[in-house]
Amino acid sequence: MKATCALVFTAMFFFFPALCPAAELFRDASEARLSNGLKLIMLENHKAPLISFQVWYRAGARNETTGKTGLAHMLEHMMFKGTTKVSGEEFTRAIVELGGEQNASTSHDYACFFITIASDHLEVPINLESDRMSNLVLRESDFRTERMVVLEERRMRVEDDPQSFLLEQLEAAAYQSQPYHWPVIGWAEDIERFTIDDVKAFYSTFYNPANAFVVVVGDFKKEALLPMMEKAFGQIPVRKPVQQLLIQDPPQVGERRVLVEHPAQVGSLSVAWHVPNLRSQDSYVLDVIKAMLAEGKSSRLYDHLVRGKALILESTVDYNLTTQDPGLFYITVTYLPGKDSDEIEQAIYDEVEQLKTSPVGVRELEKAKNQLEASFVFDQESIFSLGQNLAEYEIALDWAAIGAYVPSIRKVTAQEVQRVASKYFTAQNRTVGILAPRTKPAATPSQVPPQPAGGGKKDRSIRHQASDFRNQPIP
Amino acid sequence: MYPKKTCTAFILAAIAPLLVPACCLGMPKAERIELPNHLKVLVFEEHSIPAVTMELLVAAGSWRDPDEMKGIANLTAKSVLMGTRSLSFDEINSRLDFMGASLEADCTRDFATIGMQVLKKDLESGVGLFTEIIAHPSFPGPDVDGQKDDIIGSLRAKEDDPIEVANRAFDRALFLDSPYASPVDGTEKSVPEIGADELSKFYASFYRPNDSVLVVGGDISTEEVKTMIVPRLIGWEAAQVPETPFRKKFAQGAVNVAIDKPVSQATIIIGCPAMERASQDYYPFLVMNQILGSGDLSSRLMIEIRIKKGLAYAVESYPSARKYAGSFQVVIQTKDLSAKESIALAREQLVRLRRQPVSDAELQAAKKFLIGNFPLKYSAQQDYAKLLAQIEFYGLGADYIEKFASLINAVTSEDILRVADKYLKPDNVTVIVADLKKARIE
Repeated sequence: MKATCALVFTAMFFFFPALCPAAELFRDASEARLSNGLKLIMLENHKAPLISFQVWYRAGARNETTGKTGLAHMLEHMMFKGTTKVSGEEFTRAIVELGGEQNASTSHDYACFFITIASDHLEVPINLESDRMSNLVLRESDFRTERMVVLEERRMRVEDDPQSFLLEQLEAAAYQSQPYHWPVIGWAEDIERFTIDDVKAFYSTFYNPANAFVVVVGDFKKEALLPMMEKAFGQIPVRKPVQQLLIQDPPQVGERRVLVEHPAQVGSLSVAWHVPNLRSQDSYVLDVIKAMLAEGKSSRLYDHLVRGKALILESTVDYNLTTQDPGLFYITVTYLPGKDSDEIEQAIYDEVEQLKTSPVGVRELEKAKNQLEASFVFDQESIFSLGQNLAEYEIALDWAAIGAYVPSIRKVTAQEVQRVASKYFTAQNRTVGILAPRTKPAATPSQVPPQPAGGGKKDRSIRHQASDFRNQPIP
Repeated sequence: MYPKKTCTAFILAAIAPLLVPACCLGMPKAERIELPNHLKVLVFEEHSIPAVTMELLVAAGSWRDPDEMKGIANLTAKSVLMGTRSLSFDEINSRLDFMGASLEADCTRDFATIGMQVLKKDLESGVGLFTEIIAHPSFPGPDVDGQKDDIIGSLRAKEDDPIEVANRAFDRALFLDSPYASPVDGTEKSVPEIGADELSKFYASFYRPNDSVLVVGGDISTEEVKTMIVPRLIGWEAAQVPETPFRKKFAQGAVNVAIDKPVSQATIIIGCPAMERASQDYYPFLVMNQILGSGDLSSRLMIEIRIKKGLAYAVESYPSARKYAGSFQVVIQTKDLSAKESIALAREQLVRLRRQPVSDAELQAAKKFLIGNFPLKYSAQQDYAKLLAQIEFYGLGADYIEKFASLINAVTSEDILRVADKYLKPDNVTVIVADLKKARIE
């Protein structure tokens, strides 16, 4: 196969301090471009004869428009309905019969499709994914049925889950001009409104090599992979790249409060501040603050509010630095009825003030950094996570930026913690969401019911299949 | 051009299992050590990340809970982490967090586990902490009380989770008053009654090396385990573990449970008794379940209920085979209005399995998935450590991983018909948590 000569190949290597165990993990990552410009990010890892093959489209909920929210996720579902060459069922069986796993996920920033499979079947994901990048068949009848499935998914994920419901409300208040204003799954009315033509238009605008990249991690050889990729993906016509607007809310002009009423056994309170993402060095400081507040049982929120004052049941801090547009830094707590939500809210602000006024001690700062570095290492165990991490950095900035993560965390000082906390954690910049518990079950059946206190915000992306929500203890 | 390639993929798939002993691809071999106190230690090496996993399994699950102390097994497992003879809660957690290590205790109906993952560079301190915790817990009163509050809080939260509510109702309805009937974490009434002294007694009775398995794996060698871990566990004393009687009892006939909740989606469980984990029926049942409701898009339930009718996002079935006979469940979440239709569709699929042999294509596809997916499913250190510990606990044999493929390959469509007929009872126990009025259920 002569296509190899059409490849532009670049390799990138990181040089880390020799003692940093996190350094090893991405050292051999590299990128290449196919003849049509499709970017390929590769990381060989031969620990097991498996590969994770991931196709990422820069086509998430942030690329939708008013009145048609949820379209990116709807299309993700339709991607399993077959192409001009393979039916949906054949697609699934081709992977299942090889013991492989497949799933897909949509967030505000992207839609991605992943297949994990034995490495001697590398051609299978290459063929299936290149096919559905351009030959998807979008039928009205499939669309109508699948839209019902998506509405069921929304009931499960949002309407019957008060914490998700609270966050949906909170985000709609915190974000005004940014498309993070609406939920990834979409508003129910929009899901009912959009049509197969909307799905087709979204597919033809976004699903092509100009707007996608592929990540391959695992037991493969670059030299063998590249010609296969060129043959399957290199021929797909490129359309005009979609202009990705970087939209940022103007500075918030005062506190916003959202009250969600639900019959619930457990109350939830979430405070969220506008913060920058990876494009700012402050993002690393925010990650360190996240660990200080909520990582482990010696963390401040656990030690002071769960154990010390026994005010709350659980606390979670969520912050994701690899978003395309700037996001929020959330502190979410759950509490039993009978507790005073004003007192809890004040206790959270006291913790935040503490960050601004007293410099963190050397050992506590070191602990937070150790925790972040250790979870960074633990997280790289699966080839799937390795690929996902590279891709999320690529979406936010550049995959190679992942090499800067641990060194940047290590550089954070006590003064920076104070400065960053003072800069962002202000009353003016926050949105507060409260789900007040009402222990008496609601009489009106139309009201949205309570759900478990899982402790705050979950994974912001949503998956195609809910296969892991029950635990099967036995092999 | 493309269809040819798909063809190639299918042909390869068909011959792959014949060419290689597919199941143990990439799965590290475990080495076995037995200590003088009869603690079984399994060691595997896996050097892809600089981290080590330790997983202790103790035969002290909730089936051991005395009737008047429901939840004691779970509370004991969680409280083991609260303090030791020489370390307070704060000391344990500040050391643990300083290393960025994870430490979890978990309890199931059959066993309790305590697991740690630590970076290789912190192995020495991690091992010190882990062995001190498992062999010398002190159950400090105030910390145990805090743990009880945590459990009570989570019990309260679970009351609002339709899946949890349905699962609890299902276990109560199916297992009657047998030990598998009551919730692992006890009840809001039972947990506050358990005292720290009782935890110490429960621990002294059941947390014994001779009734436990320790798996150590990752960036470590057997030699390191022998010099670093074994000496710290030799002093953990063996003792006779008391027998816990098990009353095996199941609901007979049709039992329907309807729970009214103001939810937009009904949660439905249809189920019946299943087998013990060590039973040979487990393997045909597993293949049958793969065809019926494995959760991927090619299963019969997924095709009939989700793909063809759009009635559900989540629909799945699975056996919970345990030390004693466990259960089989079909779980569906659908809008209230579609509840009845979904139940009928699921039951139809159960009846079909009892009446008609599965097709050869379905059988082969299911086998290929189970065999091919086995190494992928356990490719993470912690998952593999749990697998090894459970193989030991359920007595599946030291060669289980090597023989898994042949156990699955031996299954015939007659076997599946036989186990379907023997176990599947489509009308046995049905639980629905829904807005009953909207679901039109009395």
